[in-house]
Amino acid sequence: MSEVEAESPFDGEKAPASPRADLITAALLFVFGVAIVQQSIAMPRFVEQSGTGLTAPGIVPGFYGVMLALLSVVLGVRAIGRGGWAARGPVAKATGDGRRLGLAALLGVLYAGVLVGRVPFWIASALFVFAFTTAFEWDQGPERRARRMIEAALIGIGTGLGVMLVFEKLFLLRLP
Amino acid sequence: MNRRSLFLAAPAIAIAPRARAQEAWPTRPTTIVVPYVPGGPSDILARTLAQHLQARLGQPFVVENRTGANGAVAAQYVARQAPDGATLFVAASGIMTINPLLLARAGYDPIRDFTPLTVAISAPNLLVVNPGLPVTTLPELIAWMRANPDKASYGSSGIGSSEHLGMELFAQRTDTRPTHIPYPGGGAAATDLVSGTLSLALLNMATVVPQVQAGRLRAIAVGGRTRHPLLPEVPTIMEAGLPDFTSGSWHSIVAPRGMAAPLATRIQSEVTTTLRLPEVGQRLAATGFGVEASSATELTTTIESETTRWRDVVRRAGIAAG
Amino acid sequence: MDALNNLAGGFAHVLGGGAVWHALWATLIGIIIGALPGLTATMGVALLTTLTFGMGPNVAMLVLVCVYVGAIYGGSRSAILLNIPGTPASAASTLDGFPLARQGLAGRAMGISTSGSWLGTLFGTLILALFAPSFGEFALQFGSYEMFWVAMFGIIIAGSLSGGDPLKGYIAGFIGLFVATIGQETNHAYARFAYGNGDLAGGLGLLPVLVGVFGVAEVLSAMRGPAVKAVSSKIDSVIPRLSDVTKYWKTILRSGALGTFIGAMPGLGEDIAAWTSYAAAKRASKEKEKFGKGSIEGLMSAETGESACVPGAIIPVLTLAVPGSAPAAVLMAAMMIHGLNPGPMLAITAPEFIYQIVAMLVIADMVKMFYGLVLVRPLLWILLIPRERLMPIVFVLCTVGAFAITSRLFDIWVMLGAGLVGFILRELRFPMAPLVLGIVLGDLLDKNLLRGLVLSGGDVTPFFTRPISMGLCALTLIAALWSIPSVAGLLRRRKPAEA
Repeated sequence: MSEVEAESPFDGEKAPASPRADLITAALLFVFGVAIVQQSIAMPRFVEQSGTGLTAPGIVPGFYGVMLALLSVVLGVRAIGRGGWAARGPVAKATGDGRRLGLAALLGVLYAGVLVGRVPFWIASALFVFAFTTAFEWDQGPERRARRMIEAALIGIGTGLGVMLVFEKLFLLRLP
Repeated sequence: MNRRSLFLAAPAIAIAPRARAQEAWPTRPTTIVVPYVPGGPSDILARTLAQHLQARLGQPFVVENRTGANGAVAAQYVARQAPDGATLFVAASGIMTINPLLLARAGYDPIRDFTPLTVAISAPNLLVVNPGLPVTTLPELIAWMRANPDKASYGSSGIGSSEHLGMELFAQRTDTRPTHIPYPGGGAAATDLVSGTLSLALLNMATVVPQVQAGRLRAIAVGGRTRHPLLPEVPTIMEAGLPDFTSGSWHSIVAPRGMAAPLATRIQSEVTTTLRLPEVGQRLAATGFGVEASSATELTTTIESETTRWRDVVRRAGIAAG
Repeated sequence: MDALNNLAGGFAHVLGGGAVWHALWATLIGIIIGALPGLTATMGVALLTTLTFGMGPNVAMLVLVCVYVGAIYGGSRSAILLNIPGTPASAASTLDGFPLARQGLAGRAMGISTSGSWLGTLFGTLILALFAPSFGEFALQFGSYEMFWVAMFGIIIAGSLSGGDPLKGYIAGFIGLFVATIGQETNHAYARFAYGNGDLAGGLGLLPVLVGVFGVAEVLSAMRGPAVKAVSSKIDSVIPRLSDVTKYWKTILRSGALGTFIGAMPGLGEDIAAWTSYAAAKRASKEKEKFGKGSIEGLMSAETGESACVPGAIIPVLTLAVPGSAPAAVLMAAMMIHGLNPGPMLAITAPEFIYQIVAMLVIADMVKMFYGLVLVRPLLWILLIPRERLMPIVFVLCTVGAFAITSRLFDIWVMLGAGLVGFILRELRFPMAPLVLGIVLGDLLDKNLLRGLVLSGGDVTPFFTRPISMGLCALTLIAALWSIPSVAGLLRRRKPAEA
């Protein structure tokens, strides 16, 4: 089956990130590392309390910042060695992928970032499941779309109520 | 029905409906907010109360664990709720006395933002040392600490815990300079005390009693006003030579501020009656805490006197927290 | 013979009064809690503690032990099927479990998990029964200085867990370490990188980040590509294979010993047990290249390690009243509530209790095996659900899981943020395993380093001169030197012609 070759985060070797992407990542990580170092140096040292200053809160994160900056330099040098300066980055993947991804991310943010906490949890979840399923099944063509939408709505309500029952009644947890 | 109504059967039945109408418990489910994760003493207190009050009052009680910022998250939340009896809060001593002193912005005021109900349970801290230390009494310990300022280190369950501030107060009162080593919990501190990494600590009773009984830690004195039934041979710190020195922690039950007096009285009496049930006392004793079931006034007095005491300790020791 | 009599007595005491029925429902609840992303074994044991208030101490302990054992096992179901670890302990199981499932071997993967986990718990229980006291004493020798080296050692091997690019593995690891420093540090309670925000001062929880980088990011990756048909699993493969066990008996023994030992050390839990067993198996394996791509040995090691950790973590509870892991801490509290005073006095006051716990662990392990066999087929149905319908439900469960522990909306936002950042990093081929391990170890390293420095009055020599410290330090140095060829290899790798 061809799905064996399907994208998975663990077969990174099959499609390494482009040198250009690596170079940009390295630059951002370098800035991130340096920022951590700067913030760590700015932290109070508590020299009087400890006597030595060895327990200053900034030492450990500062070290991580230095390591991140150093490793990002290695990453950047390696990316340049592999041709990261060349402007011919890989052509963006099929736009369908980007659209699907954007849609999933948008729905996720709307649900977890906006709806949850403002709307009763089961309604928010039912809406989310319904919208998600309907949106992604839209492309399957108009025939039986109504039926699919009804199914999606039922799954949504089932999920919302099921989660509420299991978590609030069985596990006695509070839901947002 | 409680014992009084058995004694005065007829009038009680006649009066009961009107009394209920005046001080009616809200019909909505009551939420008991716990500021820490499930499994700890405050959670067990809340769930034990919920179980019994639900049976007594015939209406649902829900326990909600709202953790974060040493309990400030829960305290701020409760402070914003309506004082209609639908929200109760298990407020630990640290939340009501120490936090507001240490946090730049605690976001609540222990006195102003809550209606006090009762000090539910309390436990003393126990002053323990590693058995390798050549001391068995409090004066010996103080002498040893003065002679060995480099070696004297103590553990606590974190900055601003009663175990930390209690030991700071001890150091200030005895003019000693032990090094403070904060741990993520009292258990971890007890472990390092057993292995000899630390020399002493003032830790919650329940954490150290098994180790003391097995001879892996030596109890010097107990921080309560009276000796503890589990270790009757161990003197109190006051008996051992430090007058007016107590150290311990407690958990109180409070409601959002502005609760009508009759409702507050009703809840206070339901809660304290439940706390005094023998099976409730037994269960809570297993967590190392003894039942107090105090009056609301006693709670307010306790908060005020302890806040005054800790404010002084914090200022003199120069303790600050983000 | 005496021990055998005691053990028989333990079983006789535990079995009876509907014990089997209690073990059955409690283990199932444990497996469900474990499999739901965000609900951990700690949470499961804590919630059930309050439900067992009314039960006798015997039944209550059996229920809690079953929940603990079940939850650690259950976490791997979602790790294998969905690439989302149900509990932090199962993060290592995603590395090889999910690739196996992708290859249509989900049934077999769960079989490996079942047999590995079953043997792991059995092994740990055996150690508990035989050596509990001395094991506990040894664990007590690990103080702050030693824990610092344990964390250092973990960090050195973390980069090698990535499977792909070690450089990116190390970068991801350091990002994880950095994340662990956010919030109040241990000595002065100074809130690092919080900028006056109370939520940040509390730190980013491991769990919301874990649910984000695995759960949310996985939902996004799953939805990105065009629709694919679900991978059907071979039906013949659902029964655990004896050959998988006999072939990797060395791995199982090594992981069992490591898992039990790590469990016995206070402060180290199932997650570190699984990672360590996995890393050790990879180092010792003849088929290193298969790790991360569906190695049976890799999955077996992670499963055996995490499951052996459970009895391991109970050892110091019984002998020292010191919990070996977070769920064990709650279990210990429950023991106290039920009047079973665990700790050094137990051997004198109630020596039979140790054997009862052994009996409970064995019963829980057997019930777990039973569910392992029975649940494979129903679980495989999950793979047949179209992702358009499965993924939103997974997302809802992730949200609940992130929220459940602390009831803060902040944790949902952390999950969301970690998910988006994690997804981008994954797209850029940064492995997530070292990042999660970095968060776990970062906390350990930071706290123990700072605490050690205060304990020694600012003197660094105890980190090198205490006997166990010295050994661990040497081990860390060897591991660091060992990894240098790979650093060299990584610089060499820039040469190959790449279009």
